[in-house]
Amino acid sequence: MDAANKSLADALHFSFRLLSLIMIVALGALLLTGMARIKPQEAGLKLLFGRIQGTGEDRVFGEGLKLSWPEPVGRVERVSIKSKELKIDDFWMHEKPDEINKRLEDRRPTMAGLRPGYDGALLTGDRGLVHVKFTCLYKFKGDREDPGRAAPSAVIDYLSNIADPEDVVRSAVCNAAIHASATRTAEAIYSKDHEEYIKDILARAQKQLDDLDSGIEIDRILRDRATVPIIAISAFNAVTSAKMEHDTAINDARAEANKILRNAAGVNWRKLIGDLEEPGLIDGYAIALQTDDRAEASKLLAEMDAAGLLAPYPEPRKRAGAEAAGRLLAETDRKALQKQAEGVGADLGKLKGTPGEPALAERYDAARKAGNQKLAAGLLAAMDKAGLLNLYADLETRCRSEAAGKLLADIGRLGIRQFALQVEKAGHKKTEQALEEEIERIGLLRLYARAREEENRQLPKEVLKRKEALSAELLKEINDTLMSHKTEGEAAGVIQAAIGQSAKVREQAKIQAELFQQLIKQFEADPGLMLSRRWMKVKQEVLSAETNRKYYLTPGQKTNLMISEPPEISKRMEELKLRKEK
Amino acid sequence: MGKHGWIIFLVVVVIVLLLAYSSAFIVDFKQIAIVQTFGKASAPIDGAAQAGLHFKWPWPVQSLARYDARTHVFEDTSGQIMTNDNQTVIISVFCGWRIKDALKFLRRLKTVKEGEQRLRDLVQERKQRIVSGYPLSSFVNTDKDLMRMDEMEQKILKSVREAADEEYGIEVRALGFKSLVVAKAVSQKIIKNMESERKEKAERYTSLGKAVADAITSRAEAARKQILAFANTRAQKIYSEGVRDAAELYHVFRGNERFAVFLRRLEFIRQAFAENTVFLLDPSVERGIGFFKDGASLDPGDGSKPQPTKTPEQP
Repeated sequence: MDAANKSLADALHFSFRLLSLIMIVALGALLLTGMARIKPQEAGLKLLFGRIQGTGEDRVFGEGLKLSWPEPVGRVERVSIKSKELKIDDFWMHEKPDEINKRLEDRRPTMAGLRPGYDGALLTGDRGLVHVKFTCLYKFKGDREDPGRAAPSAVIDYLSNIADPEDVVRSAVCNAAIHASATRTAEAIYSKDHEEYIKDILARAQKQLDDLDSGIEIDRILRDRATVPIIAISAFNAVTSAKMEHDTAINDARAEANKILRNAAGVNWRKLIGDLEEPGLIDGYAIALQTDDRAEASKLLAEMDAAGLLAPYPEPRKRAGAEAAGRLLAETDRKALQKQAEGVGADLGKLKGTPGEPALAERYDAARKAGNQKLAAGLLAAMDKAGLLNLYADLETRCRSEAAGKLLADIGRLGIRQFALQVEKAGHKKTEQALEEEIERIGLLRLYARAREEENRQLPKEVLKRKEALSAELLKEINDTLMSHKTEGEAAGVIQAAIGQSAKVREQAKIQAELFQQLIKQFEADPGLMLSRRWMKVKQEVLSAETNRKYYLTPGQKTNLMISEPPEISKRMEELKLRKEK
Repeated sequence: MGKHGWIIFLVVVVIVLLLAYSSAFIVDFKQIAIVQTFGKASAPIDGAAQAGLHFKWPWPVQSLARYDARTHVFEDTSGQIMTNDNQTVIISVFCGWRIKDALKFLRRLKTVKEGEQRLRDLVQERKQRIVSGYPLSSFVNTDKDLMRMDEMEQKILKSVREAADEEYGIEVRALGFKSLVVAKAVSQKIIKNMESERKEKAERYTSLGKAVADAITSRAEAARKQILAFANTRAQKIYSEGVRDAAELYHVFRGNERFAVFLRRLEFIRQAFAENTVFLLDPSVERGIGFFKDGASLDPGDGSKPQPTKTPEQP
């Protein structure tokens, strides 16, 4: 019995020791669960009974060895703060494995349409379809003081609010892409200039993520690939080719035109002809008025204003400014006005005013009522500078039209060059420069033609005289340009030939006159001898010329003369005759 | 303590641990928990504010239901919808949701999976109803003023949110279109349109390019002619000046006009017969040539007819 009890006791003792060892190991393993090594691209939170430990920014810590209560009492929650990349193929076509590396142009489409569920695509604003692949790079929002570090609040937001971060980001980007594509043409999406498109997608997707308190910030969205459906690629490429051909044809024509004109007059052709293609702002505006093209006229008015051509006519703008001030003061919906001001880029501060300084419109009204014209004019100018006139497009258009009308009238009356002189004297430097550019664009020949047209009108004598003087001045300038050493080519050839011929004629006349003066003396000394000598000399020359032939006819004998002409000579004679007749 | 004491102690410890395990529970900061006492739910424990260690009676007295409080996202099934201008679009919608009223959720639904399914059905139904009230031009339009996609999404969101909150205690936090395509037949038409539009555009570019190019070269030619016209006029004037100056020099001929005319005629003869001329001469006119008529003869020099020189007689 003792032996049995002893062996039982031994067994129990052994079991107890084994159990103790197991419990020690288990305890050790349990304690290890409270240790965590946070890597450099990780952030961690200490949890005690599921509650985040610490306050404020101390709740989140960076790399290093961290200790906490062992599980299940506590734990260290780890999260990767590395920037993540998400490939979004939702809008790409279905690709077979052997097609992936093939060029799009080399692929054969299996059918004409897209297969919903297989082929993704984006619908565009011009009722087109494009396939697009995106890559979205996102990370935690950065710390304000250390943007390279994830903001603790962003990490906590992310862990507290978002169960499926990848799905959330994908959904936000897809939704943003659908919206951004729906208002654009297919070209705007698949062309090289798609920065605005990507910007819109990023902004919208980020807003979506912020609304969900995700703590996620989209770093970048890349448009990896974009194409129209494969079956339509050749049609789109045809447009690209046609556009290139169009541009090439125009460039070639410009080069040819340049060559023609350089051959005609060298570099001076520009001074004579001006701009071959663009009519200039003033002429363009006049043409737009004639053809009743209001959109073009409006556009040119804005450009003329920007170029300073309307600066000599401040009165219409002053009147419009006064009217704008009146409207601003009468405006009751201040919010709508502010929004409108933001939309046109007007200075909100000047519109609303500040605690120490009332709004410009109010100050203008006060100055006007007080009769302080100078101050009122200054405040109007300040309102204009602040862009407050831009709030009322109709006023702006009206004052520009009025000023442009006066400009056209003055140019019509004086001619553009005289007008430019007047502007120069008045000190409008910007306008003067703009007018010089306009004059260059018109060219001397067109200016002369206009001046000559003016002469044909029924005008008072003094005005007509002035016009004639202007035409004469222009003609002189044209001739001086043609005679200048910079004029080359055909024009120079014609003039040089004329100069040469003129000189030759003069020279010949001079030689003949001098010879005559010499010979007259001899003649007066002995006329008979002199005449005989001259006659003999000429006879000698003529009869002894190498290519001349002499035949002596036998006196008293009938002589038959047979003339045969070689055929080529007859032909040449005929050709000469015909050319002369032409 | 004897041997039995240790065993009893161990058993007591194990029982205590078991009781503790079944009574204590941890609510994580991402969770919501509800304790039910004999099936009756008490106020939810929101981990956002009340995370930590909590206690309950062991089962069957009290049981615990635990939910993830975070936002989940699902994408509903794409479905064909006929717009109000009879165009077929295929739209899928993403929905971001979370449990807001855990009690209501517990009472109405068994599991989160069931909750999501109910929400999907709701989204599908509302999407169908709302989208079918708009034309295709509200979905895609280069004129932003005619776009109504935001409006559609807001309507669907509002409708789903209200229903989900009221019926299931679910908060819908975000909702939007995740894919928007058209049916295959419609896409075929669209692609055909794209092709024919581009073909037209290509033709327009080609003809416009040619027209503009022709206009440029025509203008250049016309400008060239203008320049040459002015150059010719100027050249004429220069030549005229030369002729005028020459005319002044020719005044010297007035000293003896007949002599001047004689010289001019001589000059004319010299130039006109300078080369390639055939002369048929009558020897009787040319007295020097009479030398050869019946023999040579000298010109008497007195105007009389020359006599033939006799051949010298042979001795």
